Amino acid sequence: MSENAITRRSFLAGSAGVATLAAAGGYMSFGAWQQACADEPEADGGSWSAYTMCNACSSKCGYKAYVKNGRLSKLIASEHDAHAKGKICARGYGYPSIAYSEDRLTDPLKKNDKGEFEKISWEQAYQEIGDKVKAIVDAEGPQALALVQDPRPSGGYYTKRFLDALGSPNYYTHGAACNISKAAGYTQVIGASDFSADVANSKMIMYIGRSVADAIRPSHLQGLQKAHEKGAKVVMVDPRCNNSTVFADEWLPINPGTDLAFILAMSHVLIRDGIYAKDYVDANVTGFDEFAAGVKDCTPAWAEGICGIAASDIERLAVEFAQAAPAACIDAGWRGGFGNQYANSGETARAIAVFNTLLGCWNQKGGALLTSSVSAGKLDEEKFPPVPKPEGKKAGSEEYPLSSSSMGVNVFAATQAKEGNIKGMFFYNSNMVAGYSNPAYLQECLDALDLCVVIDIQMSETALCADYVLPECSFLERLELPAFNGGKVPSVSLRDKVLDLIHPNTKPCDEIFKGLADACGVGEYFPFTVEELADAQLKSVGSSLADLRRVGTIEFPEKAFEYGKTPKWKTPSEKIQFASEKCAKAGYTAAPTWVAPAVMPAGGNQFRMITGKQAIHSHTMTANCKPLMAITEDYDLTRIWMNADRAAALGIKDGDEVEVSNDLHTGRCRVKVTQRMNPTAIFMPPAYGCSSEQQHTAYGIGLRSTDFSPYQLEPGYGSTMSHEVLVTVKKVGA
Amino acid sequence: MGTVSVFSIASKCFAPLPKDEYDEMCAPAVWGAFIDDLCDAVAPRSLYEVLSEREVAALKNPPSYEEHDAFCRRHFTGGLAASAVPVESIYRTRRESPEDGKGSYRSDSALYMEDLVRRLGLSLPPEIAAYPDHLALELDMLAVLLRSGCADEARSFLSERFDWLVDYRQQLLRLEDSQAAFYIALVDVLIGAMADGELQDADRTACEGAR
Repeated sequence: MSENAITRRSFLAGSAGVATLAAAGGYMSFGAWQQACADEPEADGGSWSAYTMCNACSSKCGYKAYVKNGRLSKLIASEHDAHAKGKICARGYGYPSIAYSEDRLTDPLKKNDKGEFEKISWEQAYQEIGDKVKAIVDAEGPQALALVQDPRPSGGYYTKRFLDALGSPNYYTHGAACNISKAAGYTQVIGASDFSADVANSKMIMYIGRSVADAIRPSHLQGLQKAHEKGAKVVMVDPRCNNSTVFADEWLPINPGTDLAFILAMSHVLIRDGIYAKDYVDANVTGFDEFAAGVKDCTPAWAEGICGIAASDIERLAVEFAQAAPAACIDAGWRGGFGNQYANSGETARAIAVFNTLLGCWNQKGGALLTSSVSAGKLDEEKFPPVPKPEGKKAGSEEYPLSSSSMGVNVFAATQAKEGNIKGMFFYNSNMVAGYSNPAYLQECLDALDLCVVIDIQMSETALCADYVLPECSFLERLELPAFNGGKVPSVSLRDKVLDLIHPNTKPCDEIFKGLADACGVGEYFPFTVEELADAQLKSVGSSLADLRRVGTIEFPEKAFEYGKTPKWKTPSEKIQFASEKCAKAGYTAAPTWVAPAVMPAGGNQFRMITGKQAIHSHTMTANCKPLMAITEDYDLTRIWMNADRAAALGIKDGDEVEVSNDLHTGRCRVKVTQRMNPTAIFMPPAYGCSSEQQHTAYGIGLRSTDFSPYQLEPGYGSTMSHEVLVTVKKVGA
Repeated sequence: MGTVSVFSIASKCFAPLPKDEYDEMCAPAVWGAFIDDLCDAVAPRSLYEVLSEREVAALKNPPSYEEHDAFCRRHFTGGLAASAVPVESIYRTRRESPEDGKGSYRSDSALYMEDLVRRLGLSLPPEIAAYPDHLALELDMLAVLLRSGCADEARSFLSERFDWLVDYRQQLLRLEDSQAAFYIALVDVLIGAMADGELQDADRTACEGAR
């Protein structure tokens, strides 16, 4: 025995009385402890609960989370939350396990000279990042900085404030790889980036490329279920027979990329037969004649040749829509059919807004609704100092003039890094490299940066490109700003802190951006805590943080939507614009007409590759989540889908291993052979093909669609055109 | 191989230690005593019969603080391909979700350690309080029990808590880092102690006297 000063030093403070306590029963073997836990009554005095919101996708459904012994024990969906409405999807139940994942980043990291990450202190991270930001601003100006984020309640606020404070206009969401075309197309016509179909009260509802049973809000699926039960006509237009089709009366396996032709032809029928809402159009629309002239030749027979849907069906559906109007509409969609998929996605969105207008369904019961949200009022400027609006134009806004100004063309910013115009980029909750466009290309872009900072909870493919990775705590470990939701009854929900920090050297995004702001010399814009800001925002709408913590969601019935009111159209003409000068300037016809997809499969073993949601995953966000990947494994969900007739012609059988290939990438996977698939395309499930070996669950499972996608952008709108991809498929060993 | 000083020193090699304390631990007199204790613990065998030649060499020449610090920054941090975080939880399955397999923080071992520390009137050091089943704390607990004369409890603790080190050793073996040999050697010492089940230096009368 050679105890000395150092060996006698213990980490466990208070060891002097251990002998007495151990003898008195303080020591309990693990086996005895486990038995004691098993015998413990269900109602444990040490339990607590808090309201929070899911983080598995951007919808943020509200639920109450229960904690026992410091661990999450159960989730109960909030009845009043606008998106949950008493239900959580599989992602919601599975995703919280990420909080405990061994793949969590636990400390700030810096890439060393050998390209390896190593732990550094927050102080060092802030100091070095701050110095580099200042150097970039001094040398190139603030426009040499950009930030990309996938919106979350606090993230949306703090990231914008941070970049505004630095004076850079280059602020982007994930939108260009999600729903930018849809939002921008609608904006051109109705002056709003989105609308809500009043599905539950609809007599006829058509979904184009969207499956609410697969994605992503339970409230949307509940609406569809109600419509179905009430006898509404439900039409599913999708190259793939998706999971929502169980509620549909018809599935139209349209040729991908041709929705625009289908809508123009239905519009043609309404106008040709004079069965559109003439009075409504006369009162609210400019550019009708131009549109009518443009679709004069867009007959159902013409469309059939393009989209593969029988002319008689197009005729019939248009008439059925007219009969059901105004309690009818084409659903707004999200990403699926025309959010960012094709060279004509923006124009497809425009055509849908026009078609719904022809039905006269805006704000009508069962039609398409433009509901409003409640937002925080004016705050005390001394406590929450306003940040000057950055000067200059967002990179990409001139090249893609129709793009949504609030979203911006994120990947264009990355190309500007490669061209030397952008020197520093920040990413928050964004995995651009794997999820937005071609990963190899985007990696090259980020490699060209002087400074790349990624804030995430695990080592994403984007984080692998970073110079610094700052670890955020998981969504369950942080309070965020209130989330104001629109809807028939506007509401506000809260993501409160549920768990104590699992990794003490991680921080919530509000603290991270405050620290970065201090280091970059703009800390004067962050003299408040997230609690203070949340409370002030809520007090500005007549509530408080304490109130919201008690109930999770507060509704504003006094602001409830009322049917029949014509909204104020926020377009240049203050009318619904069937024709848009801005679109004409961007190279399109003023009123939407046919625009062909950028590529067309040649047949043989060539297919268009399309993607879409599976009910258990949200892109790369959920891929490293064990419970969800277990479902993937159980149901063999990494298989591509292929039309049975095409498969037979190629000698491919269900379950065969195939090689999917194009100029950019080649990979192998198994195939699901089905008649539930348009013959011109294969469906590649999203979320798979993770190339970050730090994500133990997701790494190397399945193929990643973006590997096959070239870097390309939709003219004018700036979407990543994720379905303008051709691949060949052949049976391995054939 | 189980002595208070062996467990105590090993504990400190896996913990975030300030430079002065690390240097104090690695001072020739202290480290030499540690090696002597190891030799005594394995007697009548020699260290070379228990450990490989490379491991003995690594143990006799501990990393400098700078080398140790670099190793910690590369490997004792989570989320990297080169991570080898010495926390028992991530090598255990959870009671309530065994289907998820291994790889989660705050498994039962963490709750157990948290509870045990509280029951014994101890408190966790703030810097690693979030990981109650950190190897450094488990080894320290073993040393505390032994030092307090609670040999039976220490033996029970040793037999129950350290079988995860076999998996942890595999994790260390995967590292492409020349310093890894030192930490693997320490783990092998601990695995040896677990296999022996023999603990020394316990002042058996202390705990019994309290009963």
